[in-house]
Amino acid sequence: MKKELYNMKIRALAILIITLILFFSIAPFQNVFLNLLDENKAVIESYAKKFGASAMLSKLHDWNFYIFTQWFGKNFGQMIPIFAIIFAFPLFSREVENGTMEFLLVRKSRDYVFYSKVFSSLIIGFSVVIIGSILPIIYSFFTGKDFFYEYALKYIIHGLIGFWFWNSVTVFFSIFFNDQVKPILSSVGLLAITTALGFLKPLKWLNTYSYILGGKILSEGKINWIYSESLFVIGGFILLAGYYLFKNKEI
Amino acid sequence: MILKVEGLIKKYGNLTAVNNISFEIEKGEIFGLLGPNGAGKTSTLKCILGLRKKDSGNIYLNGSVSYLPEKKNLYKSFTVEKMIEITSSITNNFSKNKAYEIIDNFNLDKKTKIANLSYGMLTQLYIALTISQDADLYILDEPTWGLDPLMRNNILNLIRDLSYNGKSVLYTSHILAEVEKITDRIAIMSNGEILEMDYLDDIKRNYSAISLPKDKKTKGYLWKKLENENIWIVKSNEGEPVTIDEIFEAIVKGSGNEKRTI
Repeated sequence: MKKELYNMKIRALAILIITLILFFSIAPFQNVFLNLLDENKAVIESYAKKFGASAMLSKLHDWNFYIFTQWFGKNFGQMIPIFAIIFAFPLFSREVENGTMEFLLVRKSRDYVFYSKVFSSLIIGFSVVIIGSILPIIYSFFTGKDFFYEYALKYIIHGLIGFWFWNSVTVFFSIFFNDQVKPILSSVGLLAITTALGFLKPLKWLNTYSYILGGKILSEGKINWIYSESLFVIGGFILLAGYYLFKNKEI
Repeated sequence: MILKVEGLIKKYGNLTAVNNISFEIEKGEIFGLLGPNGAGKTSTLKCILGLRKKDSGNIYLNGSVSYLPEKKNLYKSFTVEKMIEITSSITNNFSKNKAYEIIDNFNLDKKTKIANLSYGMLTQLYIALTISQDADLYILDEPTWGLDPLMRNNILNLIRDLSYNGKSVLYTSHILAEVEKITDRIAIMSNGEILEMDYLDDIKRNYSAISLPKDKKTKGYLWKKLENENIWIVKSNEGEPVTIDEIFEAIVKGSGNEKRTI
């Protein structure tokens, strides 16, 4: 575990910095953003009408709505699957590609190697999701803004399960392939395909983004439990498949 | 007995890399597994370590193992010191002091990044990490490959010390001169089979070279084809004495060219 955490140190730090930069490029600029909207009101409203989003423009004056749509529902939410892929893609494939897997496997059992790698990426990834989700709470507290933190906690659940799912998918590809390029391409490709297919109404459920970005939390104030449980279970099965693949993999 | 391999078979698709081999290693013994590239040595070692799945056969291991692989790959972003720390955290019975002592003897700088080490230095570090683990059996795959003669002798002394301390060593090498220096028993592998296995001195004593007319064959290994005759290496004392290099070459050539007549 110590080695895995050490290996992830730089990636974790970089992702944390990206998260902070993203947040501080949004949160303090609500007024600037609204002024820009006002200045281009005529053009923006015509497009907003086309996409049925006229009501949304006026709601952006509300701090809660602004953070939920621009942070959880856009910038941070969009990054969660990407972060999961970044943390998971080199876990196993890099060891095989660099020829260091046998160094580990003659010292520790396959179970130990699997669990320490998967748990390390989950611990660090979950920490990033939690930090990213509580940033608005901290910011609102220091700037004296009234923030509806219960919604933020619900977004954490969606973020954690979204991270879990994409982390499991990428771990599977990282075990399946023997180089680092294929796992990242496969995971990003699958993310793109499921998102694109999810735009078709009958395949809406394939779009994990609409869940991670928390549309239901914003519209109904509720966690989408059915989708959460399904994604959690599917992620678990994919991880289990990865485990059996790793147990039987020849090094 | 520290290791017993019984009827081991390992296949990759249609290719039989290891074909029904058996051998045993006793406590305190240095056992050399020799053979040309592709003979099946590394596959055998990996099956013993559980890195590859055997197709059939039994492997009995009576104790702990420390392993030096053929390809000496370590974590390039770590320094030598960090590598020792990490190895210590994941290895049972690992002595950090012994590792530092060995790398000091090798004149390796603790603060150097592994990416900046030459292949020889990387091998030295890997050997230090392997030998600093207190194990019952040391499996060393080409431990001296790419090292200069001085360093090679240093490593051979370290391996010999292991045996003096009652540890067993399973060792593969292409360099027959060093095998002759340190091994007690050897097995010669080719095309996945063990063709000869005995104490080194007994092998040298039992084989000799004879010349026969081109049209005659005998029980043994065809070693050289001359203009008017062929040289065979046979299991008998009646011919000219031969070195281990010559016996190895004849056995491997004979097996590869299917010129072995028994």
